[in-house]
Amino acid sequence: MNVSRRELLIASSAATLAGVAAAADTPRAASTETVTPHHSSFTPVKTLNGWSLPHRMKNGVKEFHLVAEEFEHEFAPGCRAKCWGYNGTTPGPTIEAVEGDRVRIFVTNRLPEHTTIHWHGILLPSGMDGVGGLSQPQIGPGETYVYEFDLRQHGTYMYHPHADEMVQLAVGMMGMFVIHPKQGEVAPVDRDYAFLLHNWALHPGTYRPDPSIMLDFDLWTFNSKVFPAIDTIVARVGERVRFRIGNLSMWNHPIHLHGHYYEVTGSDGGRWPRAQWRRETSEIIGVGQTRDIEFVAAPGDWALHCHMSHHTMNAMGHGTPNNLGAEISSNGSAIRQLLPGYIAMGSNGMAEHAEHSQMGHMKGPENTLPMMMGEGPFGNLEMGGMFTVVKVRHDLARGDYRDPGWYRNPKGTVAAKVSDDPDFGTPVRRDAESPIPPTSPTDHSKMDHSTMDHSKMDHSKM
Amino acid sequence: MGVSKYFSGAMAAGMASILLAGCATVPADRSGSVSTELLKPRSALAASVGVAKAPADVQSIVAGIAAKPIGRDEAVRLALLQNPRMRVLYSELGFAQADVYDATRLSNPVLGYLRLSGNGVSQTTWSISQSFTELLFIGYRTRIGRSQLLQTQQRVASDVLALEAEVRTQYYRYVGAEVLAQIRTRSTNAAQASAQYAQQLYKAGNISALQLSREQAAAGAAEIKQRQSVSTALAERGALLNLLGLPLANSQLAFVEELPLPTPFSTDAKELRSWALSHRLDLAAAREAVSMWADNVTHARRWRWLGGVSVGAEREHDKNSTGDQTIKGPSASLELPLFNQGGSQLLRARAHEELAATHVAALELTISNDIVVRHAALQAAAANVEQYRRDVVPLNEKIVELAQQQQNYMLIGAFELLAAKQQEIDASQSYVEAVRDYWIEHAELMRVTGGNLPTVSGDKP
Repeated sequence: MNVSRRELLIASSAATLAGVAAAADTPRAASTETVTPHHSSFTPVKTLNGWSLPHRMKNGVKEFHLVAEEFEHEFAPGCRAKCWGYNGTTPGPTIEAVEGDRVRIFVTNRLPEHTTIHWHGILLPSGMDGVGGLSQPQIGPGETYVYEFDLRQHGTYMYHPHADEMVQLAVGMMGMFVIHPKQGEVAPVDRDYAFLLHNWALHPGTYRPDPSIMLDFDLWTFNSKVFPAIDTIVARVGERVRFRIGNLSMWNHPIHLHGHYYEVTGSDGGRWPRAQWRRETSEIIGVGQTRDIEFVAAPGDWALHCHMSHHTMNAMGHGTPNNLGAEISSNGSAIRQLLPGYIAMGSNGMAEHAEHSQMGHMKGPENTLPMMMGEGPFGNLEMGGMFTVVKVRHDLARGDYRDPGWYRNPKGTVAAKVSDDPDFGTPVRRDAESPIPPTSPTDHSKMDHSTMDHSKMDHSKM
Repeated sequence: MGVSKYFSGAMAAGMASILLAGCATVPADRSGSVSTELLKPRSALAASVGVAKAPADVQSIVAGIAAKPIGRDEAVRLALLQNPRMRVLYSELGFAQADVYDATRLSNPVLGYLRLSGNGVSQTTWSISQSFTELLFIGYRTRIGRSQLLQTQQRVASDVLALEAEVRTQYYRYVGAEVLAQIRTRSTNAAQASAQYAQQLYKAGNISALQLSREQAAAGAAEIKQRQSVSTALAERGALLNLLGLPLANSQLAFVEELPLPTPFSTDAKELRSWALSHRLDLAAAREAVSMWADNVTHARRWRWLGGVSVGAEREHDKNSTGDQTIKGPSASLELPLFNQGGSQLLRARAHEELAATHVAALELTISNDIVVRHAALQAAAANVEQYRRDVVPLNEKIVELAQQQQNYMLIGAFELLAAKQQEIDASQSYVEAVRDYWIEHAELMRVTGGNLPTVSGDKP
């Protein structure tokens, strides 16, 4: 195999970069700390609700085989749909390799239309880039193509179609591509989780996502699952946990972790030098971006979710009447004369709806999840969509990924009720503004009309 | 005096036979009653009418019927008892009876008496004469008279059946209107619930005045529609009670407010047509008229040369100075057809015959065409009812059920849910209208067919 000058140059500069990175690694190295070269073995990635694609070695080349196909996928018990993905899952299996590997990826297309795979963020020859029509002819239905390239970087990347992209992404085709560093981690990671953010227009009562939707989505997912079906994230106290998060949805998501600050340590542009690591508790992951997020686990049960409150709910109607604050219970009984199953909800907020649906009082459309679900140790969680729980325990063994149950709070560390009386205590308030009347006409008497500029007005049209 | 003896004997015998002939022709059916025989195969209800009843009897029967909710057949029975048209028909029958009476009887013999006297001479003449042509034609006149009576019976029976059809139709119109008014109430309730909901949202500041106004306008429109449906029901009730001869002020009168489902009928139009042509009583009357005029034409042609003939006898008693004597003998007169040979009678008879034949042809054509149209209309009406029953109404119920599921999960709001309910109510209204229209078509087909439809199951609900 001929190694071109360009490849040599890149390989050498990568090595230099590694060296520079190693030096930049140690801002405090001015003191006595020395850098120990790290192990090149890696912690395999845990793909939430998913899996990593096994490979076989063929003459030193890691061979992977992806199959693009349609199958039935479950978002959570009670909601499933016909989706497209790879090797039987959406997202497809995570491809894990090591920087420096040569990978050979077979892609068999069992979809009814053509497809390709683009390796998002990966440096490779132009013809391997996977843009249908530009880099390669599209992979027709029934055909198998092969991609082959050397990995000369490490970090968190993705793969997804680049043919009829809108449709194929919309119905689930995407996957993570994780390249581990050859030299090992700067800060060794004990638990390495990967998940993709996505959105689905699975209209209530239907069994196939609608690819024509651009804004009004029904389901928001981590790895194509909604709460309460998203795997729990577990860690032992003090472990360094990494999330590799990719976003191939249609909107940006601020991913927020409770109880910690984390550091954003890399993107699909690669690992960042330590000086560029940012402390956040919410990091906006834009469409087409990945982010590496790392933190040291503290004990407890911690919510991890997109901070857009609509994204932690399953489907709800948009433009439905606003019942908040309206006296609708007497009208509710009038309506029940005509519609015996009607329950007037929402005048005090949506919590009672969660109560009703959690207790199974009402039947929803087929194949549709209630918008708020889940029960915690203290009551209803009222969540859906992009929400899961990070459970950190003192007694969780290394490599044990099983759900340890709910956190047992140490005595005196739980918010406790002090009174049932709304008038309890003497809270300080600002004077309330006068209430908003529903039909007050504009009062011109208090307006200062003298400062209006009438010179530009066309009085002939008045 | 052998000849006179013979004459007096013959005369006596002739007189007697004339008398007998005159008296014997009494029509069997003397009462002014509707023909049960004609009506029985066409309508069991109408056949039960019989004679005109005394007012007291009518009152007690009516009271008996009105004590319970009145169904379709009871309504027909009431109309046949009380509708003023029935009295008109009874009197028509009375007139017809009178005509038959005349037609089947000879005119009375004329007794003459003449007494002349003066100058010691007197002459007393007794005479008796009787139209002979009448006697000659008594068979013909009886036939004609009976035919006219039959035609009247047929026309009257046809009118009774028409009245029955009208009552049926109006009964369905009324019951339909009542049920529709009830449905309209539910629709109004839905619109009002929607407006009430909007009112509460507006009070809370959650919707605009524009949205509130729209809801209130819709509720107002629904209330108006409901008021109109109540007025319509009252008008139909009035029209029905008119037919039944009952006062509207009697608000206790209850009717069975149910429209049954159509019953299957499988007659094809051709079979129905030949049934109708043999069953329609007005057509039977028209045909009877044709044969009557044909008889008339034959008679006029045969006897045109015979003028009026009368026979009689005279007895003259003369008294003079020489003594008195009596002479007697038969008399006869004959009209000589010199200037008039009964031509106009023949012409008139022929014209009548042609007119009657034209009438029959026209009626046959109308009936044939009407049968095709009404039969197709009834089939379409039955198909509509079935489609509502099997598809439209259940689908709308399903729509409401599925919409409720969506509202349970707050995927749609109460406005949309109530709109789906309104649509379901509208569908049930259309269903009721379809069932009502089916039965009206059914009554109309029965009328066009001339009574009961040929298939046994086609009539009873």
